[in-house]
Amino acid sequence: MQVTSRPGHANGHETERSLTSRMQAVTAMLESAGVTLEGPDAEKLVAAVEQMQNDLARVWQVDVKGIVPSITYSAQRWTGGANQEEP
Amino acid sequence: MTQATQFERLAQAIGSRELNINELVSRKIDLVQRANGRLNCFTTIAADYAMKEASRVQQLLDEGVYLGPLHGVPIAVKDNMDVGGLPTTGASNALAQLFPDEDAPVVSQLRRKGAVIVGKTNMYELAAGGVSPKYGDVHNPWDLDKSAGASSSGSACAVAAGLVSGATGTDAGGSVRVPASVCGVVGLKPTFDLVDARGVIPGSYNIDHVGFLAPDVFGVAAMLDAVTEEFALEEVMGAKWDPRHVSVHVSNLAGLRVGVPESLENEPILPNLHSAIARLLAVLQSSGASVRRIELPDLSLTGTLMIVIHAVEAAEYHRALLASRASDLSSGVRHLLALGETVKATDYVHCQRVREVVISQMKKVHEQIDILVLPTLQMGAWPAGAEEIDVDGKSENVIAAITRYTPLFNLTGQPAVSIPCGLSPEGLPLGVQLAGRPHEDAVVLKAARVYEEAVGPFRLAEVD
Repeated sequence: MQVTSRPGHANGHETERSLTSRMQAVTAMLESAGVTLEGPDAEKLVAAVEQMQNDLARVWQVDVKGIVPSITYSAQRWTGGANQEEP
Repeated sequence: MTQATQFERLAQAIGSRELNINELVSRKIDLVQRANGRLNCFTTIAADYAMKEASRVQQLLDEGVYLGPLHGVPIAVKDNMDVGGLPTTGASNALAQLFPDEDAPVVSQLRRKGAVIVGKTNMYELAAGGVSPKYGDVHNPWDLDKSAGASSSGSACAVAAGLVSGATGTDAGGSVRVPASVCGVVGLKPTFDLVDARGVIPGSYNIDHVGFLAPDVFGVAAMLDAVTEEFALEEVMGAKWDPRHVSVHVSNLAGLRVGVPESLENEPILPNLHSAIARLLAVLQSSGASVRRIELPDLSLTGTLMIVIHAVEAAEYHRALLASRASDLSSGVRHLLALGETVKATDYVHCQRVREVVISQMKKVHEQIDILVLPTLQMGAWPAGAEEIDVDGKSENVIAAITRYTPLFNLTGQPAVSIPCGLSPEGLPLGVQLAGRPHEDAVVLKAARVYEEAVGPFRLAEVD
């Protein structure tokens, strides 16, 4: 499955090849679960991935100098309920 | 003197012993059973369970024990939350159907205050994108050919159709507020982490919230009051609530500073919504609030941040499911999880840093104002099943269109409530959000209540 690289990506090291290899890894994961992405379904996913890469390019343009990410996982709280042992 | 609205009127009737809970719940179950074929908003109708619960809380009332405004009120629970003895399905074929023994804490807190659960509500599969392949789409009670919104659509539909007086939901990017808006009910996303989320299938650890839907502001405030000690209903009502008396008027908003985006005139929203927002602002001003224009963070970025964080965290949580049961998932969920797998760790961390930028921008905004008024959506309900919709004359992807105004508050963790505000030219409900500083849920709900008092009870859908 071929996807195009993000245009003007600000972190400068994303390549078409690395994105395609991640897509291939996902495709292989799905295939091992019996799902072959093809036709409009595959086109839709590729379009979504490309859109996200384009949107991420804009996110990378935001100046975050001095900003520390304070990830706020509330791990004590989101414990998954009855289905925590999925699948 | 205020006019008591639907949830509140019911709570008054029960609390003053005018209404028998067994009879009420029996009538509601009958209504749910008749309406669900058309609306498809319930995954489980728990008739026997509900009648037992009704007997239990009626007996308490007969013994002189009154548990507060939730006592005997029929509610529904979104099907990603555990209710002991009822199945939790996540509206998915991919999960083993399990019957938890215990309630999720939020459910047990609502039951402890006397709420009667009549069933579990339909939702987007795993709250992660797309119509449930197990149960199908929820129909909007205002127009059955229209969407009932996003993930908590079953809860919004059940409240809007008058099948229950309250419901729980979850909101990672707007999934309580968007269905509330298109179904014409009140939808509250409280401050992040205010409501215990144990026993709930996670959507995103960082931005998902447990919230509430009701026909009126009183309803969501009463449910929040029941599940956290940090919030008290009387802060919204202006006095301790007593079922034997009509509530005091809370119209005084003197000193409250209300903000609207500078860009509001240029936002691609329906003209009806512009005039509805103007009316809402006029009501708040006439109650003593001041209104000023403020500059918001880039809303198009907030949608991207929400999707990246949600997709990555959902992909991590459901990885085993994607690897082994992908064929049982809807294509919508498969796509979201696959999308999350393609995001690099550096992208994810950068999004978290940009999220901090957004949080600091909103802190600055709140130095000037106490609450912010923002549309919930640009429009009313869209055609069911549509992937593209028309927004301001341009065709736009549905998910992108419906997540323009809501994800901001998922990223910042601020409380935000969507309240009905006018109708579209087609006669469908429109919604407006009021948002405040974290842990100032009461300030937001008080302003919403003032508007509700001024315009009269919000109209429910007319369901045969």
